[in-house]
Amino acid sequence: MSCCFENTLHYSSPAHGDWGVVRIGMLAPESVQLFVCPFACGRHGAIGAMRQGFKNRLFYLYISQSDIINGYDDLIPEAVEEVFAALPKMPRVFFIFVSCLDDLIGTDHEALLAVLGAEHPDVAFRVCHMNPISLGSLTPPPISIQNNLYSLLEPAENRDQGVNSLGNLVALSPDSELHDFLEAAGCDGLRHISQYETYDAYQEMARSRANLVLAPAGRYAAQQMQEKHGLSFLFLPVSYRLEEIEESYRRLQEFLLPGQPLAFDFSRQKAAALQQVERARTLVGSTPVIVDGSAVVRPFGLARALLEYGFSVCRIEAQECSAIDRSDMEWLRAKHPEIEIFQPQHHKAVLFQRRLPGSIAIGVDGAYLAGSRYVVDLFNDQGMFGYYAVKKLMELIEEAAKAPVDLEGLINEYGLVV
Amino acid sequence: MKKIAIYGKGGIGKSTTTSNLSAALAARGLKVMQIGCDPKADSTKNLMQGRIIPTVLDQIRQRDNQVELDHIAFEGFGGVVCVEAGGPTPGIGCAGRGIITAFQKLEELKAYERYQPDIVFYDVLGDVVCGGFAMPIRGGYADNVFIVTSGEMMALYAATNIAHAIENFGKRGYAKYSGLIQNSRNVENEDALVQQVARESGTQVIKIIPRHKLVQQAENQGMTVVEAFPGSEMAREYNCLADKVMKEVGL
Amino acid sequence: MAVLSLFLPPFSPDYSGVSAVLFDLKTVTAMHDASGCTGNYTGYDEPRWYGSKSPVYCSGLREIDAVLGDDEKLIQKMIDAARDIQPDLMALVGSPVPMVIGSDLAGVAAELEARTGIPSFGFDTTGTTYYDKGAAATILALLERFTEPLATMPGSVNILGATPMDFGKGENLRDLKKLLQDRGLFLTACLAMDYNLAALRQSAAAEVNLAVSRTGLLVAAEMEKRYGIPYLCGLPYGEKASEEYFAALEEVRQSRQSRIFNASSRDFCDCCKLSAAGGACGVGRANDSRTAPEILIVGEQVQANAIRLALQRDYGESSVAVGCLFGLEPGLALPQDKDLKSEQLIGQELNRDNYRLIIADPFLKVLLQNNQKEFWPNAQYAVSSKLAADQIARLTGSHFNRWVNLRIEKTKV
Repeated sequence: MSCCFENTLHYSSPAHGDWGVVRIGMLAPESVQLFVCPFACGRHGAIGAMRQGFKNRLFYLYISQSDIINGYDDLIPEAVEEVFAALPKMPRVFFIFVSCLDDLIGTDHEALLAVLGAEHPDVAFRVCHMNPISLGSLTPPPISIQNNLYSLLEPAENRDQGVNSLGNLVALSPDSELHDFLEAAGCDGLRHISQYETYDAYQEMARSRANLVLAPAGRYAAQQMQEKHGLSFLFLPVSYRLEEIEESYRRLQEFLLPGQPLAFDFSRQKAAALQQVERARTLVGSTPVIVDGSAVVRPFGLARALLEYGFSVCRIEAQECSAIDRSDMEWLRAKHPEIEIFQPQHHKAVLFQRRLPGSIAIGVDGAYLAGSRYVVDLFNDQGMFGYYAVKKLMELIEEAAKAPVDLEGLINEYGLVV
Repeated sequence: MKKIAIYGKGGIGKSTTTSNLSAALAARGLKVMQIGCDPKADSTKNLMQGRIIPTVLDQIRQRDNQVELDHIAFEGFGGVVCVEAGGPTPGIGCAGRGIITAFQKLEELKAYERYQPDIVFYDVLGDVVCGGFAMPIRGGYADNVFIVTSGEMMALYAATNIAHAIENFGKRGYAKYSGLIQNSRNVENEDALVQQVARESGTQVIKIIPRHKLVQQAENQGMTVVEAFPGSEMAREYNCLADKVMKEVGL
Repeated sequence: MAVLSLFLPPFSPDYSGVSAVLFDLKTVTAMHDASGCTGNYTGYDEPRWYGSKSPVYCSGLREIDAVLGDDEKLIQKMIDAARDIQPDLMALVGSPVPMVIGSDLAGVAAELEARTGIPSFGFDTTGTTYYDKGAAATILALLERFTEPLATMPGSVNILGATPMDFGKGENLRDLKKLLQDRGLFLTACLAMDYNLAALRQSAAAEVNLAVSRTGLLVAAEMEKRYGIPYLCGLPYGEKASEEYFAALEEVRQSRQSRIFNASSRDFCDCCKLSAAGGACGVGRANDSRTAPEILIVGEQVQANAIRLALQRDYGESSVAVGCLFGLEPGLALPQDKDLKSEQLIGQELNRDNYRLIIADPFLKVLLQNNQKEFWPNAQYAVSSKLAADQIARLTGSHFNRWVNLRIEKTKV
């Protein structure tokens, strides 16, 4: 395995993309969004929102070249009023989004928020950034938008026994044993932003005793909450390796109930996961497997897990290697130099060489670029954690191996935006 | 048509120099156009009897797509066509982009076709050389660049920066760096300092303009020296500069 | 000036127009942006993207490169890609950030060309104008570079202004090509869908240019100046109107005089037997609600005009106005036509009492307050993208009549 991520022109495959800031921002209950940008910047977000049914909470103020030259700060309050006038009911949260070019002209957001806040004290205004130009910085859009969401929580007077899940955009599956573990540890439920329909109800998350960060993009928000609320957090990224899962639970136990013995017996869940691994591996045999970074946050970690379970991983598709995936990459490089690393955005991707139509791809981007007919329907670790994640993944692999999929349909269903 | 960009640090006397150049050439019967590229928008006021003319960006702001050439181009002394690009309110917006937009508007309105100038001067603020402020030295705009400087440190520093920008664009076959114009401030050892910078950046000082109180007196009347005191020694200095510039650009 | 939009999505921008024209060619094209602009094009403006091998890339612009104006990084990435792709040409496409920092993409392209010997282009698109401007500028730049004047080949035509934003995957264009073939005409180049560099070079030999969109008209006018090729601007929609279209084409071939194939104000006033100043159809009296037009067609101007003419010739509907979403080209407009520059104006126009029937992209229906009006959806990719691609009406020739008849039947039911 070679390790050389090249910085090339980026190819954007039809399977490239993620939720986008619009959809993530829409997780905030009773929120609306006003984008202030050249009209072009809004097209993907708006069409995506129409598909997902929340265009009625998404509005635009298209700025012209002249507005950019003269500064557009002073146009925003009037536009905000017009949005209010068009809404059937006052929102509780108002996100004002600016795009890449705002980073370069230095709009005074604080002054703007002060004006708006004074006019509408019942509405929480936030300036949000759809600025992929900041990728590579500490707060690129996927991270800053999560911080915008959790910045809406106001410090609570009393704490309860609830625990928050942060970072994951979809709530953890109810079938995960993490819920049972938390119950055994005396916690009162694992909270997720998507479960709240009102802004007031959402404030329940401010009363939680701790944050569990299940995906890296939530870590910054958790740090901010630690400062603002004094709420401690534990970073527990999803893993598909049994020993790591075991270790995660040990850390969680220590975090919630320091010094106490493990409150939960995982042997049943572990056995069920292993049984499913055995079934899937028997079915799949030596069929080449592609592990793609669109399916999981840590593709190198997943590849390692699959190799340890006896699968034939032939390719890892990743544009880069995140810090939390690095040790697994090193392991793979040492033990399996034959495995190919494929950069999905490399300019050469468009040549569509080295096709593997008979492979099973975990992730749609990997499937598209390799031409795999068998595709594991998993995106961004959604709903996954613990032994459950292993069992569920194996079920998905089994399902994928049985019949070819309509990949274009599947990609369209995901509704990804770049 | 020759297009010439005059760069220099803010307050160094670019506009005074450029306006006097324009006036001197117009007095010889040439059709001259002067385009101020500084958000202060006062490049041409001494050709316009002290009047500050509406800027291209102001007119775009007010009239949207209905801007016409007569809203932004005005004939001043000797028939010099005066234009000010303008800029945003200080502290907000994007001045560099403003210059590009103003230039595009002039082209869209076919300003060069209508006035058929023999010479176009771009009078450009040179403290900052972002993409927008570099516009006059890019493809299709200036053929030659002159930099106005005094012997003061900051002016020389700006001059060096601008020279770098021109050099960077060299590969693209853009404007030629044609020399320094020394607008004297009577700094100690001034001539030698400016000479040294010229040498270091591989160019020459094409003219040393002495410091003279007539410049201020003319400006107080809203005029160039060439207009207010045509027979003066100082007017002769500017005429001499005009000769040198003409020679450099091959007219 | 800033415009508020509450209900509709933004329409396709200029940079998508540029990229769509380059899609078919062997290029290395880079949109100079961080990712989202390229995503707009590949995800929502280019129906041919899935399954294609078109090297339209994103430059991966980052803040520090923008602030420092680091062009060398971009140039190096282009050169690296060119080594592997071996393109016939290269292009850089502007977006809002290069607009703000004043990137000199034409200059960068000149430098690229000097270093690689590969013809290179820079397009200073900004994301603040619509696709048709970008598409037309690109076709013209390609022509200027690759197409020398040629001797005319009798019976040959170009189709000009074919983009996915106006024609989706191009079903109406395929139908048009079939009609041309049936009449013994042959196609030199279809700019810019389903073509290649050889066809582009050959395009100067066409006897007549067929401008099928506003993009096409902008190109046709310039090609007439450069190569002396006269044009016919319009589309053959509807059985009778198509006959007229081909008669007009024959006339352009004979006379070498360009022609806009459109209804005229006179047509409408003849039909109601009154003078042009006060015809019952409302021409010249569009503000009078009793006599104002009854049908409104909203969309791309050339296509909307073709629907209008077909409605008149094939169905006797004489009181029709066109609303332009992407700017009104005066030479294509009748007095009652409207330039619908903003969502607010679109909404106002749609809701005027005088209209009983609206033909428009299905997304526009959300602006209709009165559901008594009939609404016939005709999707346009520049508006509703892939979300309504199945509602792009097939209208060329007699397909138009089938489409209308089906609508009329539905209404009766």
